[in-house]
Amino acid sequence: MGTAPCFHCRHFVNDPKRIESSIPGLNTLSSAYASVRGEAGLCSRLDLFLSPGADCRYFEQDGAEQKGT
Amino acid sequence: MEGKVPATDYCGTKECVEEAPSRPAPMGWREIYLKEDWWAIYLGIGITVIALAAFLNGSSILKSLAINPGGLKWTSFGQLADHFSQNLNLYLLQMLSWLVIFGISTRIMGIKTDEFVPSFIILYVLSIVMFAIGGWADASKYNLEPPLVALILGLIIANVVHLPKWLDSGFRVEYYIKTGIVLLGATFPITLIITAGPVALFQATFISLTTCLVIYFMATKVFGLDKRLGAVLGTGGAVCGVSGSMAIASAVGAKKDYLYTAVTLVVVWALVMIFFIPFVSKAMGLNPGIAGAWVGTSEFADAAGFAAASAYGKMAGNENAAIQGFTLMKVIGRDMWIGIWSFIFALIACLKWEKEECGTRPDAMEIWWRFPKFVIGFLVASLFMTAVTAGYGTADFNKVVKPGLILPIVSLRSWAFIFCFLSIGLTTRFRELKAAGVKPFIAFTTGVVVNVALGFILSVYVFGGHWSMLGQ
Repeated sequence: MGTAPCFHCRHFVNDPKRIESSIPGLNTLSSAYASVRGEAGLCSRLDLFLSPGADCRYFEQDGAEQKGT
Repeated sequence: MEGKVPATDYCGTKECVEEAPSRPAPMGWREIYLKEDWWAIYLGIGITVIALAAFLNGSSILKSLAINPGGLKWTSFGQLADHFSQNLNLYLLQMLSWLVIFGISTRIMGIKTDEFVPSFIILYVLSIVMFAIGGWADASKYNLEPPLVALILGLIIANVVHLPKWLDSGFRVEYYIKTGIVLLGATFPITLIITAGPVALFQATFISLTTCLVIYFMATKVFGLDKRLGAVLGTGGAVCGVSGSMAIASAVGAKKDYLYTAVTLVVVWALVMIFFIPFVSKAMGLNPGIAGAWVGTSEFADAAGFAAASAYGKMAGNENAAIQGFTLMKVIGRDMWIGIWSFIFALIACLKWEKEECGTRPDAMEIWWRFPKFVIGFLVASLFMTAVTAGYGTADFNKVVKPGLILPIVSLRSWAFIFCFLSIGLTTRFRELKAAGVKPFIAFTTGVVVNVALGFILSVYVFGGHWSMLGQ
């Protein structure tokens, strides 16, 4: 069955710099550039912190933005 | 997950199903140049290999480059000024070396070089000041331990002077501490990990599980908070602070606010513990190995823990013992297992909390992808240097290997740690932290109290004989 993972959604933000600026204090004792984050990111629509493989009804295909950095 | 429905609701047509990618294209092995854990390994192992090559060839270049004013024991500013005027070239060369290796690696990770460079230069200059304070002959009399002074100075600057946010590009707390930990591995006997590791693992696991369950129970059963918030707070307080919260937040699909709440609580309590544990240990005259184990059990994050362990080690006159106790407990006993914690919580969220809605089963490979890779660097460095120095007797080791090979690495490690301790303070802006709310605060604080008390009992009374043997 095909699914629509958040990784390919336009609402999914996993750029480390944007994650750190969205959650002040995150870089004080941790880092969005750490292995432990994996490729998790923020859903800008639902305000959730998600794994890239999560999915939901609000998925919208990401057109241009390069993910995974 | 809130608002979540089976994936079939999204793809109502055959075309849609075929167009939608079945799995995300993962970063996968590109993480070897996009994640700071790997860069910490490259830098730590690279410096170790260069140090060894220089030692074997009789070159003193790395020894000279590893200069710091921390061991001067100066009594007048004139002495300090003489030291800097005589070694100005070495300091400039050292700063340039750090700038190049950190600058290139952060650039590859996506951090802007024009932001990193000025920020790092400020950090380097402040670090020299910290070392100079620590090198004052009377520093220990006034508890002017560089880790604590660095933290306080950083906090003052960040909260009194409104530093521009872009300066954070050079204040990479985690990158510096991970590089320092890999360098620490080069001076950490693998035999110690093998002999003391199991006890550390038992103590750390017992306390982590207890603390996590206490926080989770308080949050969900006593205060009726969301299970996901309970899980994010529980792992933040029990496993590895903000990193633990971040891993579990994504595993269970938590609200961003839950992670933000955990960040605030972890940062505030971690800062308190940096001062509380060393000064209580000092008041009780604890053995530094025992205090290090206590810090390793009860501090939340590596960076904060190293600050506390290093500070008390300096107070007690045996930094090595405190660092060893902390490292065994935190890095070996707790950090390594974050991927498994994350996978278990993902399974619980998928199979129990959202049985009807769990579209994608957790992938066991996440255990590997979330594994804090710098631990591999720590273990490799330890194994490598233990093997290389195994042929030297105690007398030769102390006379030849220690000054020519070990001490330069220790000095460079101290630089990495000072960069980190200053960065903790410089990135802590209290006005930006989120108001956590009374219920999460009490739930988390209950866990902190249980953690600190249990950590003390196990470190001092149950395994005290074991930890007091460290650093000898």
